[in-house]
Amino acid sequence: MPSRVDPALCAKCKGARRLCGRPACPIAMRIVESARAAALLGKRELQAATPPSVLVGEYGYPVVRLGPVAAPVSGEEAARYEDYRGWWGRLSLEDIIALRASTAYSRFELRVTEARGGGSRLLEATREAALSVKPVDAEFRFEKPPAPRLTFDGVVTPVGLGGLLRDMRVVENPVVPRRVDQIVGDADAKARDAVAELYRAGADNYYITRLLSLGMLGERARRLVPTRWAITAVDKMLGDLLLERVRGAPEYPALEVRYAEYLGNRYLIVLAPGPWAFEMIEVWLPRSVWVRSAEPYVSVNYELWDGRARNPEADGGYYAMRLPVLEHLSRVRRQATVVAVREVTPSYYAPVGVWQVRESVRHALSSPPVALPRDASELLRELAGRLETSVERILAESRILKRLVRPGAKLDAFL
Amino acid sequence: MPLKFEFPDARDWRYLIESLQTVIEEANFIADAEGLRLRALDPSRIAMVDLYMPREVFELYEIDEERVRIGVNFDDLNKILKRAKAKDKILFQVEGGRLRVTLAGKAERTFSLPLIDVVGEELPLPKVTFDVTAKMVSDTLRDALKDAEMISDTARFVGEEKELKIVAKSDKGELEARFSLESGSLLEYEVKQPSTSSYSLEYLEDIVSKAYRISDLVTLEFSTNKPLSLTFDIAGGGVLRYFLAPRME
Repeated sequence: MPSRVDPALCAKCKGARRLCGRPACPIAMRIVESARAAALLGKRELQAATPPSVLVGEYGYPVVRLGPVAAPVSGEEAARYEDYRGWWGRLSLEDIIALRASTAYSRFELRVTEARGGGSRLLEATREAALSVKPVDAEFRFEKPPAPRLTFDGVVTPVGLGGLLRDMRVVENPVVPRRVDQIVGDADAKARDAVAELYRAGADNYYITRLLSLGMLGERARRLVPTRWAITAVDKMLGDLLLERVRGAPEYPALEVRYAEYLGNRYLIVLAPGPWAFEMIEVWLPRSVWVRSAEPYVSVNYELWDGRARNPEADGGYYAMRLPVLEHLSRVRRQATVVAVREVTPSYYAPVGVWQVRESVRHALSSPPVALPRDASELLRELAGRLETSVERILAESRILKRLVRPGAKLDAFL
Repeated sequence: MPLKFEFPDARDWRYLIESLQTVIEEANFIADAEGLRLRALDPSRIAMVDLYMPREVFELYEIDEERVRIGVNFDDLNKILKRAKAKDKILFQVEGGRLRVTLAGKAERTFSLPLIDVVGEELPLPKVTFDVTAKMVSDTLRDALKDAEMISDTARFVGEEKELKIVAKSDKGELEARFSLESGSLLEYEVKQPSTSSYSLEYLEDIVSKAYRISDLVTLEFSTNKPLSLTFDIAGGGVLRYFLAPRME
């Protein structure tokens, strides 16, 4: 390896932004080489199903590459190639990489504004498949047989192969909920309202993200939205929607700690009585995937009552943690001051997407509390017992946790 | 029409609303024969804002009832105020559960938004006697707080006999900003008793970075481990005042 890369840079970039200036991320490359398998390799024509899954790239924006992701099987079985809720707690990192290494990103190129017209055959076929809530069988014809392209980034789930799509034909009737057709057909509703409508109609964030990224929601000026951006946009919009309800609810009754662990990531959620406030503390332990130094890398962001993240660089991880927290609060009809700590250990050596963050926090919050601390010192003991990072280090970076454990006087005392 | 008031510069209102927003998202203005008031605590009850605009600051002020409550969401109101051009006049009218806002410049534009029900409690002002009082240029205070925020999330205010210090410390470093009458950085300074108290910069920096546009001067008052008071005078006799609870270290 030539010159050293600043570890803080890697933790910020997570393989996606090429902040180090190299043509390919050296960390991601190492992972690619250790994972190669492909049932779809070497074939120019495929009969395959998509789970459904789609990808819209950001490179070259406003001219982007996009297309469906095909699994090497047909029928219902394809569902497990993109089944985040089903994967959680069952599949190991190796299982997920192996599964995704055999999928093929069947891409074509479009200008993002071409989401408007009906001109692209390939886009229409992709949309038809994406609307389905069940796997869809299709025939794919490539310019050249799909080749390995496994890359990793912190937000988007990896795909093993890639090939330039020449033709695609959906050979099965997609299963589309009736309400969805109406929403997608409504070119007078704003994207935000369409997202809210879909969510109320029972669609989950993954489904909504697919439609948003393919430019199927919103007013007339629809565009294709790179998957990375769409994931975070949907997390944020749904979170904002739930926050409206949560802010009017009574406060959480008592201090609670919830916990989950998956794929070498630890999630510790502190729910405290108080007005809505949310803090994310993300700790990348030494020698974890994007950190090469001997010091942990800590990144913090938070919001107060107004629901606006204070660090404008809020990334996908922030909103992916915030959404399940707001889902929980909205379900129990309470508001709370919430601190969510994510600790990334070295055993999370290949990032497989931000779904892992969202689903882990969902699990932490649907499981019973692991502790009901009676005061600040009990809470600190609980943190110290479950995290590798020292509590002092975390407190030094934190805003809201610090306020919970060392509260300043309230004005009430002087009124 | 129960209430109607006009103000010469719409942009001053935008600054004012943004300053209130640093503490609370929605609140009630209370109008009576004397003028307009607003007093609110932030949701975590650490900061209070107290606004008083006597009828004299308005170009026109008409009220038909003894007391009119105007509950608004500041975000919604601000969206309208952002549309104001330089030198637009602004007219507020309350009628039939709606607030009508007219921006009058070259053209006259009237927006209307529903009044909302804000659960407001009658709040007294904090009962504090202040040992340190300092008057300074508000921009100077803003700069010092910005400096301090790079270092820590808490600032310690130290009122000594001849000098006021703002100190921030953390493992990132240390900042000490010093002000005195002698150096010209304070315009007035009175110390009944030397005092030290710490306050959250999260609130303080937010408040001052908005409210400094309301007034060039700020009066700062505190006592050891007691709330901090910041007073911004509004041209024509209005007052925008904040109280901030101390942080015990």
